[in-house]
This record gives sequence, C-alpha cells and structure tokens, in this order.
Amino acid sequence: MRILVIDDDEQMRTLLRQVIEWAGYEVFEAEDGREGMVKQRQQPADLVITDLIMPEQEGLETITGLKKEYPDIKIIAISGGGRIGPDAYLPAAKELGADRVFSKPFDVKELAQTVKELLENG
Amino acid sequence: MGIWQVMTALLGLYTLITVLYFLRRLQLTRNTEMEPVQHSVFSQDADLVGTEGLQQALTDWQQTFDAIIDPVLVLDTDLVIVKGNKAAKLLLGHNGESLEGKHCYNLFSGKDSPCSICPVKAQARNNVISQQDIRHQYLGKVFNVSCAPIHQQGRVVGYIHSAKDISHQRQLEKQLIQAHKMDAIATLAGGIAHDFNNILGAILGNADLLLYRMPDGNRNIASELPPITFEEITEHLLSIKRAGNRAKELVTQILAFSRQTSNRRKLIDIAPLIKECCKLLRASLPSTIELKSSIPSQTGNILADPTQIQQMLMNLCNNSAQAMDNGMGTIEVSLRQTDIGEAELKRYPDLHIGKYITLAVRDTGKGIPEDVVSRIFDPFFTTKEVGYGSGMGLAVIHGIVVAHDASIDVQSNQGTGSVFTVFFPMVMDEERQAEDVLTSLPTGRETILFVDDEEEIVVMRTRMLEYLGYKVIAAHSGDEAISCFERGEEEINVLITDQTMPRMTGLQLAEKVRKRLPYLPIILCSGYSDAISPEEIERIGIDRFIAKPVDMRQLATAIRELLKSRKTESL
Repeated sequence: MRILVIDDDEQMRTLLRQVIEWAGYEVFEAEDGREGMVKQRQQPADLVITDLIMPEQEGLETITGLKKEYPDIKIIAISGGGRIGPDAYLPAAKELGADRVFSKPFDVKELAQTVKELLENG
Repeated sequence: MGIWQVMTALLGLYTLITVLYFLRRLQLTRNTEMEPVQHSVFSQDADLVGTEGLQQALTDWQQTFDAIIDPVLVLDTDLVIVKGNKAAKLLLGHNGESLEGKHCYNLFSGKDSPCSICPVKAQARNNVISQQDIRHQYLGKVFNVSCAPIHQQGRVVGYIHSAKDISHQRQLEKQLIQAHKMDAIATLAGGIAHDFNNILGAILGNADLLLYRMPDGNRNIASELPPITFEEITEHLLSIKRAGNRAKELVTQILAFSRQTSNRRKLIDIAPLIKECCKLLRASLPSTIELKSSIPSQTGNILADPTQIQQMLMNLCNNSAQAMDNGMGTIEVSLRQTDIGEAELKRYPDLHIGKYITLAVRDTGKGIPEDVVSRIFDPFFTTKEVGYGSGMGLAVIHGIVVAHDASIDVQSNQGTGSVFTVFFPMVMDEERQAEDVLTSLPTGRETILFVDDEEEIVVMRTRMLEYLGYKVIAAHSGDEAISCFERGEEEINVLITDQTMPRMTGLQLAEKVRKRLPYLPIILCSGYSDAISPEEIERIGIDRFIAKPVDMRQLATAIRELLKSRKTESL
C-alpha cells in the first residue's frame, strides 16, 4: 500500500514519512498540492495525507481535485491553523471529502493507527 | 541697530493701533447716534482721547498680547528678547526675572549660541515664515517654534517668535507608531501560530516516535519491522534539535519585532528571509487573497536589520491586501538582482550606478489616484475608512527604507493595482556561517557550579556539561550556591547561573560572588534579555550573558573562551 504525503514544511514531511514507515507502509512526498497531483497521476496512492495551508496549491483545492479524479481515495487532512484559528480549515476539509482530520501538533500513534484503519478496514 | 530699532517699530505699531483706535471711536460715536450701545474690545470708556487714548491703546495691546495662550516673543535681529507675553514669561522666566535682554536660545535650549535648527536662520535663508520643533532643555517638552520677520521700510528689524507645545501630540504619535507595530503583530499571530504548530508537531512527534520505538518492548505498529537503529535515534534527536532552533529563532523575531528600538544592521542573505516571511504571510492573509512569490534561492547579500525587513514586507502586503476590492485579488512578492546604469538613473534619480537587490510587491487592488501618490508616505495619511488602519503603515515603511540606504518606487494605475519596489544596495562581500556540526564541541575538565531553580534544567545541563568532560556541582538556589563557595571543598572554576530564581536572582548571586572572587568566570543565562541592561551586567562584572534557550555550542564555546582568557591573565 502506498501513501502520498503533501506538506510544504520539510520537517513535517520527514516526520510523516517516519510515522508511516513505522506503520509499515511505503511513502512518497510532495511539497505542495500541485506537485502532489502530478505525483498521484504518475503513480496513484491508496491514501493521501495533506497539509492545508501551502503555496502554489493549497490543501482544500487539492482535496477537491483528488476526490474528483479518484473518488475512492482515502484522505487525511492536517492543519497547523492560520489567521482565523487552529481548526478553522479542518471542518471545510471534512466537508470536501477528507476521511479524517488532525490538528498540528498531533499524536503520532493515533495518526499511524488511523492510517492502518483506513487502509485495512476502508 | 537692534533693540532701539525694534522699539521704534513697536512704537510705530502703537501709533498705528492708536490711529485705528481713534477711527474706531469715531465710527462708534457715529453709530451711537443710531444705536444705543456698542462695545469695543479695546475700550469700555467712550470719552478717552489724546495721551490717555494712547495709554489705553498700549494697555489694550499688552492685554491682547498676554491673552495669547502660546508663548510669544518679540526678538531683535540678534535674537535678543525685546518683549515676551505672559505665557512666555511663565514658561521661560526664572524667579520673576525679566526676559528682556536675554537670548532666546539661552532660555529655550540652554545654549550660548543659536540652535543648529534655529527657525530664524531658515527664515533669513529662504525669506519665508519658518517652523522648527525644539525641545525645551529643562521641561522636557517639545515646542513647534515659528518665526515671522518684522519689516520696517523693507528691512527686517526683528522677529515674532511663537512657540506651541506639541509634546502631547508627539507622545500620541509615538504611541500610534507602537500601536501600529502591535497591529502588525496581531496580523502575524495567525502565521506564527501556524509555524509554531509545525515546530511543536516536529518536536512532539519525533519524541513520541522515539519513545514508541525504543527497545524496551516491541511497540511497533507493524510488528514485523526491525527494532530502531542508532542512526534512526540520531535522526529523531536531530529533528527535535532543528525544530527547537526554529522555535528559538521565531521567539527572537517576535521579541525583536515588539521592541521599540531597532536592531543593528548586519550582512544577510535576503532570499531566505523573504521566503520565511512569505510563509507567515500566506497563513495570515485572508484565503480570498492569493499570494504568489518569485524568490530565487540566492540573490545576494544586503546590510539590513532582518526584523525591520520583515516588518516592511508585512506592512507592504497588508497595505496591498487592504487595497483589494471585496478583499479578493492577488499579491505577488518578487526578489531579484538589478543592475542600475545610466539609463535606469533617469527613471530612479535617487539611486547610484551599481548592483541592487529589488524587492517588489505587486497587487491587483484599486490602485492609488495620481494626486495622492506623492503623499502616501506621509505619517497618518490614509485613504482608508476609520477603523481600517492608522495611516502609519507606509510611513513606517519609508522610515525603514531610509534607514537601510534603500529607495522605494511606486507605480500605480487606478483600477488595476500598484507595484511597490524597494531597491537595496547589494553588498558584494559574503559571510557564511559555519555549519552547526554536533561533533568537535570544545571540552574541558574543570569544575563548574551550575545554578538553576528548575530541577529538569539542572539535570539536563549537568548531563550536557559532564558530556563535555566537566565536573559539575549543581545548586538549586543562590543560597545553596553561596554555601558551595563557603564550604570550599572543591575549587570552582566557572559559575553558570540562571537569572530568574526565587529569593536571590542570578544578578544578586553574581554580585555577591564577584566581591569575593574577582577573577571567577561568571555566565548568566536568562530568558528575558530586556530586563537586564548591558550596564548592569558590566557593573556587576558578569563575563558572558547567554539568552535562553541556551545553545549547547554557544555555552561550550563561552566556557572555553572564558577559561582560556583567565589562564592568559594569570600568566
């Protein structure tokens, strides 16, 4: 099973890669939504973990695009918040099709278990 | 020349007033025939004539002069006071002494020669009524002093010098500038929260992952995975350290930004700074505004205060965001190297031939009307509605631009948007910071007394200093530290103390120790660098001040440097 991680923060991408590898899955990374869409089209992932505030193409737009092209794909949205509060964008992400949402900082074990649950139980 | 001519002028003025007075009386007498009562401000008595009239005119003039609430002086051409009104006497008079015959600069600024910014000089040079702001030597007040010439037969024979107290206005201006800074901080808060959550995510995530994967029991989510390796542990720890350093930088930036005084300029590579700032902006601008950036990884170095550059970019982008119709549009931030030659000088006459780094902020806002462009950098000038900005943003930007020997250009079209371009002189020399490598930290075998009231910090620092080879004596208070010295069981070579501790602060401890041991190296660590002045540190004799969170390399280097210098001194 393959997982695509989209986040503009390099340290966060590294951490997400380590968490997913710890959970036993293969990971590939993208720095923003646009690059994420390109990588997904080249080699589709089963699950995407995406940040929401990013340059070029932000997370909400990415979630919409992914769901349109890959209706069955599992999506986890992660956000560190922004101008209007830490959890402002997460409900919107859920509405647009994200299966689960996490606020940064998040519990790594909970994230790893959520990834497993989504991939193994649907 | 001088006082007599001015007196003659004043007498002339009195004569004129007297003539006017008689004309007025004449008019009143005529009017009385038609109207029962009329009053003149100059007289209550309709029967005054001749010398008495002149005397009355003089009294009227003096009363009018004294009724002016601002201090007014009549000066001769040598700036000697000929006459002062009541307000001037109250402000400048000492023990009832007369102002007449004294120099205005002596009374106003306590100087023996005219002020360098004397409005009279400017008046004589430009032949227009001149104004200057002058600070009063004893009152600590700021006055807007204006100077108008008294002409007699085409010659200047003296000056009317009037001073308006603008201290309150100045204070309000200062407060507004500070309030504007706080506005900018509030705007930044969203961006900072976003960045901080990323940092916290990295610290907590790596620490958790490390704990879950440690060899005491296989807690791997996927049980078939091999146990954690030494390299993986190192990778997690380095990630935590990197994130901690990012947090430290962020806190330094916020503190520097909120201080009133500016930091010193230093040689910086501007590209990473602008990139970092764009990240904060992206999170803090409304999502209806698209932020595009075109920043090459390297454009060159400039001499700048990083905090002020960030503040400038924040203000420019906030200004652009506020210029958007319905809060929707695009802001584009770009950075590039520009060669200014003869051709460019025609367009930008303030620049010099050479290399510049240009920072441009382009927006798709309403644009600025042509008649307003020249005034946009004036303090408090605003086209925004009340409550939509103080009008200080662009004035602050202009101040920063000037302080950086830079130049700013504005191109604007109404309806399509504006471009603000800042030209920074490029510095050709490059300074590169040495890479922070964990290995080769300076070590030693001396004894260090480490004092901090927080147990966790004591344990962590003791471990760290022991790792560097030192013998560490730990104390949790100033009193405990003093006891260690008094017992004298072991020679202490360095004292490292925290500042904020109950009962005895680090400074108080250092002061006591310094009296007994004048050559002992003392390092003070504190999280609130503002509370301790450099003068205080010098007075007590603290050798090094290190801001918290303390960097291991910085502390290790400081210890070695101080011990080395003490050894050299003792030789």
